[in-house]
Amino acid sequence: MIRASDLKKHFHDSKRGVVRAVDGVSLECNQGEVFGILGANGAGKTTLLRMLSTILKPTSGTATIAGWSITEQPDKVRSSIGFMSTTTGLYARLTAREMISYIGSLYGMSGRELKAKVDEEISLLQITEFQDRLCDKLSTGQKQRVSLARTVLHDPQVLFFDEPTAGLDVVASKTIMEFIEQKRDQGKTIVFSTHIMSEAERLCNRIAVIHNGKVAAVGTFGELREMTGEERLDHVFLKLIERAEAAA
Amino acid sequence: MKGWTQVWRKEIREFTRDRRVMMSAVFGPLFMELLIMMLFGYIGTQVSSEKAQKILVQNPQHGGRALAALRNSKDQKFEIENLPEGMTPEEALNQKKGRAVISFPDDFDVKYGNDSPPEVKVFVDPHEATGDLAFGAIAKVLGEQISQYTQQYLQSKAIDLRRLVPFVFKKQDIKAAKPVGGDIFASFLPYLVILFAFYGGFSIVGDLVAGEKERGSLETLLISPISRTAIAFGKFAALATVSLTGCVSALVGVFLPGILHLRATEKLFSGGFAIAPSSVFALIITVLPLVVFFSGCLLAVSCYARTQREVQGYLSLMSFVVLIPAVFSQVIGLTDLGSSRWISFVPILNSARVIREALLNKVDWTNLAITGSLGIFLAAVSLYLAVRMFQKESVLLRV
Repeated sequence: MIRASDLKKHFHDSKRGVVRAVDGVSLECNQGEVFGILGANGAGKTTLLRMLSTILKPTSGTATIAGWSITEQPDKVRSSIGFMSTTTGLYARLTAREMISYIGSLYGMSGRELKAKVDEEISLLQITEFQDRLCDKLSTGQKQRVSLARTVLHDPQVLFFDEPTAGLDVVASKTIMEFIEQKRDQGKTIVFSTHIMSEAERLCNRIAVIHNGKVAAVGTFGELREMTGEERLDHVFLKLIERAEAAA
Repeated sequence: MKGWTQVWRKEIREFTRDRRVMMSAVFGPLFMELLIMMLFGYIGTQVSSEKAQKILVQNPQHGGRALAALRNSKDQKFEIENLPEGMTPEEALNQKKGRAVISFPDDFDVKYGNDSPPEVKVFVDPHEATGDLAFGAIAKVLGEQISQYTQQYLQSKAIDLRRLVPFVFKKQDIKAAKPVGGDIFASFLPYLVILFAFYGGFSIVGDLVAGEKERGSLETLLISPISRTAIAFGKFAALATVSLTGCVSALVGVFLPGILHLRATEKLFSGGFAIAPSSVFALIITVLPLVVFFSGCLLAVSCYARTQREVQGYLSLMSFVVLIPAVFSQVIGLTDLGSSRWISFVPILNSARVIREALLNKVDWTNLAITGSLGIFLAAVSLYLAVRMFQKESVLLRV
């Protein structure tokens, strides 16, 4: 479902020179799988997801999402994906319903089809009670629900979650975790970026550990434990980072 | 370009719920123009009204026939009072006791009509416009009296006055097209139209892209299937709509008192206001590219800036670029530059001139063609730049 090959993204920074945010990442992610991207802050997770979701163009390398090339057919890729992160904001002066409908209209939905889809998501995510309230007036948890609704409204095959629970309380985090599990059970392909080990352990079938823009290791938990000889995931993670540092 | 209308509709919906937009693009221009019109109307009424001008007289007992002429003038109205005792003309004028002080010499009556004519002094404050107005009125009345005296004298000596005058001259107004609502419109309306074309969208431009960067909502747009060109165009169209609304609101604010026949402004519309179709055409050809040009520039700034605050910083500088030619357009009519062809090649200044010509119902088609073409060209360039800027990830994602 997702195939990335030697993806690179280099930026030029006037102070630091060339910054290799992502430096030759190759990975594969299968349908119905929750693929975790684990890395410290600044490891390159967000840049990688932004390239896969066509927000950024790769400096070199390529990837396909649901069979579409991110460089050759970015519009087809965008139709096939949903993207959510904690930092993704809502429009303050639109109501929850208007916000979801607007995103639906950007995906080509209109009329009865759009209304039916919006009604469905509003009901599923329990937005009904505050659907006509301005987004500006919603609580953090309510905003997250609206954000989830707009992410999946067009029923994408692939979902990207970029640190979706960062800064959220336990209740709001739980909603998101359950939502991701639900989508996994529906057969969606999910790429889940986080630096929270427990979340990765709970959700991910396989994990790629990213460090300094490179893949330090990929595998299931069992495989990663075997590689490092550590039991706890945080210890596994730290060991892999140390090895990556030593190899660099 | 598919999908830009959705972006446009959403932005407009948000704008209508934003008090800042309603203030800066609708109510602000409308009520500010109404206020300015009332003020101009009041000043116009005051200046042209037959309100008596207060003048003080020093030595009124010697004023004789000159003072009588002032008191009995039918053309000019004076409120004549004696200079308070012990007060000099300078003191009286500094204390605003009157607009002018006429001082008759003690021998005025004796010397009147003699070989050495007496000198009547009229004191005015050179820095007070009302002093000049009062002097003009006094000079007119006293001048007429001198003229009458001269004629009578010459007649008594059997001299034909015409033999003493080599030629006569008089002011003759040509038959010009009637300006829309009076000359006052032509002088300040172009300035206002240009200002509101720029400032109409001023308050919300920060929200459009820089605000989305700050809120993190831009990602949502960028991963949608519609192209970045369509997103940029939708936002541009929304901004242009708001700027145009600002212009139209300003124009409504100007013409509304005339339509409603408000008493406070009736002097401004005393000749009515009729605008020729050619002038309407010229206004459209000038204003629309101007709005597009400004909207493109504003959107490019919003794309480039990281935050809304940064947008405001850039726009403060940019507003000088708009203000300087706009202000210059106010005084250019006083010089020969006003009719120079090269003005048509100076953006903003050329628009102000064409709008002025349109309001005077004197459209110069060559000026209009150059201004319109240049305006359309610049509008296209600014729109292109804004769209290009929106596509540059180094600009769009710099936070």
